[in-house]
Amino acid sequence: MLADRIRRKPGLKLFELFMIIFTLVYCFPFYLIVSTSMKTPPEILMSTLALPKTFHLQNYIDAWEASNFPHVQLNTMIVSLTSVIGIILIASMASFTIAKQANGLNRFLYYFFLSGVMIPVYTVLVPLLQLLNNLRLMDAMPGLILVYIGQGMPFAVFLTVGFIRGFPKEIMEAGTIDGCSVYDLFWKIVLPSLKPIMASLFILDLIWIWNDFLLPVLVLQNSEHFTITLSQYAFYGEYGTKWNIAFAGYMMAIIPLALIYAGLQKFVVKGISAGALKG
Amino acid sequence: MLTSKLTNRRFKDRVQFSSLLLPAVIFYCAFVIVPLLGAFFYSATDWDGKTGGFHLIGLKNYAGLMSDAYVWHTLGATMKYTVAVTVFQNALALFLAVALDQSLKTKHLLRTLIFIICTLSPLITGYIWSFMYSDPLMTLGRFLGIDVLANNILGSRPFAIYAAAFASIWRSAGWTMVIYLAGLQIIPKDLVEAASVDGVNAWQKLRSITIPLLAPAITVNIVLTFERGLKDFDTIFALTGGGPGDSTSIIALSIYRETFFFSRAGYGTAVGILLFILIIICTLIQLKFLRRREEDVS
Repeated sequence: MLADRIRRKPGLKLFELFMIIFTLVYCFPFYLIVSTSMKTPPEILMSTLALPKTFHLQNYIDAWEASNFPHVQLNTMIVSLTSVIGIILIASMASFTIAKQANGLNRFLYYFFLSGVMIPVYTVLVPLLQLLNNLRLMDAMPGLILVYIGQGMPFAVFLTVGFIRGFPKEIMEAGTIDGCSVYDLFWKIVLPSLKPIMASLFILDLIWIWNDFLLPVLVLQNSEHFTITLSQYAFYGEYGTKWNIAFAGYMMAIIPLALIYAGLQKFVVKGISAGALKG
Repeated sequence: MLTSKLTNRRFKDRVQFSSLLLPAVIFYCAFVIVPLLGAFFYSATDWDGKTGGFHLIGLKNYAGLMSDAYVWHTLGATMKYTVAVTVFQNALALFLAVALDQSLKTKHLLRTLIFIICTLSPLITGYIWSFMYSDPLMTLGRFLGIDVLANNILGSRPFAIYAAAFASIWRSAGWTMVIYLAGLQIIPKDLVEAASVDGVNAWQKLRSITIPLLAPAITVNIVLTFERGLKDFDTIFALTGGGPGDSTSIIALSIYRETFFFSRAGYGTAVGILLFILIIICTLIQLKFLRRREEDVS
């Protein structure tokens, strides 16, 4: 075995080099965004690929002011964080019941929720907008949040039920013998152990809602309420030819989400393997 | 006494269990199921989506769909796009997952770099690739003498749809890779090691151990990527807007156009129901086929 490993090492090193080059090529468009965002227009014309000569941060200042960045960013955070926390909490409550109270109704509910994965938002757009209109929630962030929570249920329930089904029975039986009520079981035992699945749902749904374009463009009209994708859309209309400023704007939009992801990364794989693949 | 206490307890349990269920059921019904029923209703009307008045016209919209060449064209474009995304995204992601599961020193860094791209919005992805295709890749195409690339590929009727698929795959492959990586973690290490001791080479290991044992991850990924492909909208909206001609007009784009551009909410919703039915059929076929494959393996 040991000899085997030593013999293989040069091959592995070569392969590692290949993968590093592969990943760099893969990330090349990303390099272009970063470098273009720091160039002046003449520099872009001269060579799109070269590194910027000086780090021209003025583009970022221009993009910051033109897009009303802090305000738009705050809107996006409010909408996506509220929706995601809502999805996770409400779906875990339901998943606990579906996974642990085995009866016909709950078996039906599992498939009832699961089938929602197949319903595309385009199919329900017209009635959905009608509903928001009737609730006086058009052009308002709460309207968007409610829709996201509803739309997020199927996948969240699917993932969480799979995870809870894998729990050892003994833990919950011990809780019941100690006199825990159903609520106690949920809040004190189940919810704390859902951390890995919550982390993957959190990042997955956050990326989805943060980046969603269709619902905001249809629901929000007043630029006061704009989220990040809407401002990018408006931005492209205005600066579509000024790639340096547009790309500076995109960079600023990416950074918060990328940072959140980097902080949660290690939970993601754990959560998926426990929820989607074993369940 | 004891029995009444027990039934009491059971009753209380049942109430508490149900109360935990209720919010999810309410949200899901209000914002998914009831709108779906509403969609069936609106698809039977001639509503324009704005004014109050509309008529029930029965199945006329659906009859219109059947003879609408544009709708059939968007269906074809959607299938091309979806199949390309499903096949190549899974192939790429599987390669990346297996490669970055080896004991490489830089594997965590490389995984992170590839996954960070998933945090880009599909809209920005469209904008970035419209830049990529119009400038750097055209230069590369000219340099290598590849005609399709040398003239902006997004202007080419047969290839633009695959160029759009490529942009979408580039953005989302990291996510598919993560699911494959999760699948690889479940494979028992001693099985792989035993094979190494027996002198099985890397390719045989991949073919007869890794891929069969990855069956659950493959099922999840194929179903998910296929479904995302059918539902994709933002990338193409930003990248080509459906052009050149109608060559990249996918079904989601046509629903958006009918409903909000041409003010035919009833007809647009009928196209939406068509997409829904398409997704059901494709998902059920895939699940049946892929689950059977999983059982064969185990």
